[in-house]
Amino acid sequence: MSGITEIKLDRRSFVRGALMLGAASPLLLSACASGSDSSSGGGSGSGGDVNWLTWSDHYSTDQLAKVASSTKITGRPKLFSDNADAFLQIKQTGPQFDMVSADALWVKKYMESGLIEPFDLASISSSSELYSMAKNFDFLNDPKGALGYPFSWSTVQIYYDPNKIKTPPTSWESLTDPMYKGLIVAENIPTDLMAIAGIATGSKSPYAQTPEQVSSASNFLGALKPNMVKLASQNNEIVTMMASGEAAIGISNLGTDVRVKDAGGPELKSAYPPEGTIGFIDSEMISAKGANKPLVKPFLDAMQKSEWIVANFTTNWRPLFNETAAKALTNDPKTADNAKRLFMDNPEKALAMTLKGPAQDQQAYTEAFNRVFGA
Amino acid sequence: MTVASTARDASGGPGEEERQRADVKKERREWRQYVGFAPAAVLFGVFFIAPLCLIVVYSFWITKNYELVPAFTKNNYATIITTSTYVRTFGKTVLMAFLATVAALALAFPFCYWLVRYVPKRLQRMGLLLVVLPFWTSYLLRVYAWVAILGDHGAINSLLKALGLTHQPIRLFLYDNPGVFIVLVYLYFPFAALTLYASLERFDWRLLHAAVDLGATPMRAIANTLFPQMRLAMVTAGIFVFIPILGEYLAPAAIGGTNGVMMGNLVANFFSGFLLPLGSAASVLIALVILIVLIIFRRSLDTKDIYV
Repeated sequence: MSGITEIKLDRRSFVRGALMLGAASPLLLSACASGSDSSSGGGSGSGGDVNWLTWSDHYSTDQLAKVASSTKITGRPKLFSDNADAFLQIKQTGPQFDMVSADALWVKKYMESGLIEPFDLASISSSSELYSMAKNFDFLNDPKGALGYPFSWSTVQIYYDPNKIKTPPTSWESLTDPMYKGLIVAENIPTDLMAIAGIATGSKSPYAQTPEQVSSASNFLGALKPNMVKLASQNNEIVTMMASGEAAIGISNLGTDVRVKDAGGPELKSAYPPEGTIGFIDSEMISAKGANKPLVKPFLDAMQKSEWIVANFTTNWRPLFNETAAKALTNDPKTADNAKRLFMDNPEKALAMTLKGPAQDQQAYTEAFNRVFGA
Repeated sequence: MTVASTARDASGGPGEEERQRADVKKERREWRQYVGFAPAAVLFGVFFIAPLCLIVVYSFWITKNYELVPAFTKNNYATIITTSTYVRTFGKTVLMAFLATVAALALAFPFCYWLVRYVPKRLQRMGLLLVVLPFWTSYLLRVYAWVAILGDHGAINSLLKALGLTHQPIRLFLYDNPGVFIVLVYLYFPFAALTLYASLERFDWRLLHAAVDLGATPMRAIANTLFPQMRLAMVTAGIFVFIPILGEYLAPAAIGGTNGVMMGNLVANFFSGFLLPLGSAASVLIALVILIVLIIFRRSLDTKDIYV
């Protein structure tokens, strides 16, 4: 014990030691990370975990539990909100994620960066339930195979509570009217909000705006800011705020009205901006470096069966690309109206919107956004 | 073989051998004394110094087409320093941290004073338990609980409605700076209270009595005898509160709405938009403020001093 009490380690020595360890640890960690590539376990026949970077509306806990019990493959979702954020995480984490969700044009970006692995869509038997047009989206296909399994789609439009909004908004531009002060909520996705602002200010390529267009879009967001009560971290926060009455106008996906009603909120009305809008077609991709990537296809097969897609639609109320599920929903009197109104049986509509994708100049978009929404 | 025989065999004679052995033993002992600090050094090095080094390095790089490019540039710092919104947000963050720290100390001091002076020793533990009780729940839950308290259908509005004072929900503080301030004070009050309690508990109250006996008013006695001895504890508590608030992200995001943004929120946007260098430069600047605060108050960081 005397050794401990006689320690003469001064602060300088301690900090020096820690600094040496600190400087060495990034090398050590990267060595461990690359080492784990080869040590990954999990084969298609043995079961295991699929680590999945996704959105909260791509699964339900009940679904994951049942798929785990039938396939022995457990989906372990981790949530993100912004495509750029997910892209960064996949780029930096290597083998930690086996599957990742992304919107439309982001899929090609993943492929160009070597982050995903093409696959044979037909080898996933549930894909036979998909609309044929969904299997042939340009951005989801490559000469090497399918890049993503098409899942859902939606336009982004304006929803409002008619009890609180006496003069309904009619366009993106109208949202900047001071009468809507502190009433609007939208998701905190800088790239997409800049794209919407681009559309509102006349840009034809909202994800490839010129510096002048970025400036106009930024001015639009500046005019919109006083009317925005909050930038929500996830889409379901928009639903919560509109259901509780904390926000009266939401910039959100198809089906928000039904979700708000389900959450005990008011009857909402929607407005489709005449300037046009953005929207997503999202898909599931196989991470090129995923430690358990052989498990992804059997996992996807179980997760994408029409019964689960029906359940997903009746929870999240935005259209999905499963035709078998669409038929079941439109044939069921309880869901037929919403299924038709929300385009479950009309996937061609998905191609009418400006698809979400990476910004041509991400730095300019994020900086312009931060300049508006800073203090 | 005995020590003596070994010593005889050695060319340098018995005295030299003894000395050499003693030196080896001493060296070994000196080396071993560091082993006890290894876990702390590993933790400090791997989880603090290494990420900090990475952030500093990134802050001088650029991103090009969603790729980090290791090209040395000072532009990231120039952008943060010359953009009025970022400067304003930075200043607001420092001010918010300062005000919340002052408020947390102002609330914690009378609470601890009351606890130490007027509450029986056995009940003091109960009081302290109540202070740390919120730590038993998740930080996220504690922040979102305030949305429920301050929200349109929250506790305050429900109470006002029940009392017949309002018919429509009124938005009190939520989604604005005052809401962020209240939540920050609530979140960091325990850090201030625990530090001040530790110091007050060891204060010799006879000094206060002596000052009053010598004619000082109670307030003057507190100001002239208690406060000087509490100064170091106050500074330490202030540092414990001020530093984490500078990097706050969740409270302003959940409570502040579009008006309550702090620097942490902009950094998060930079990172999620793949602008690691800009986000890193902003983070380094925050770390610099912390470093300056620590340098200014470095004498107060000797934790034994807070126990008076």
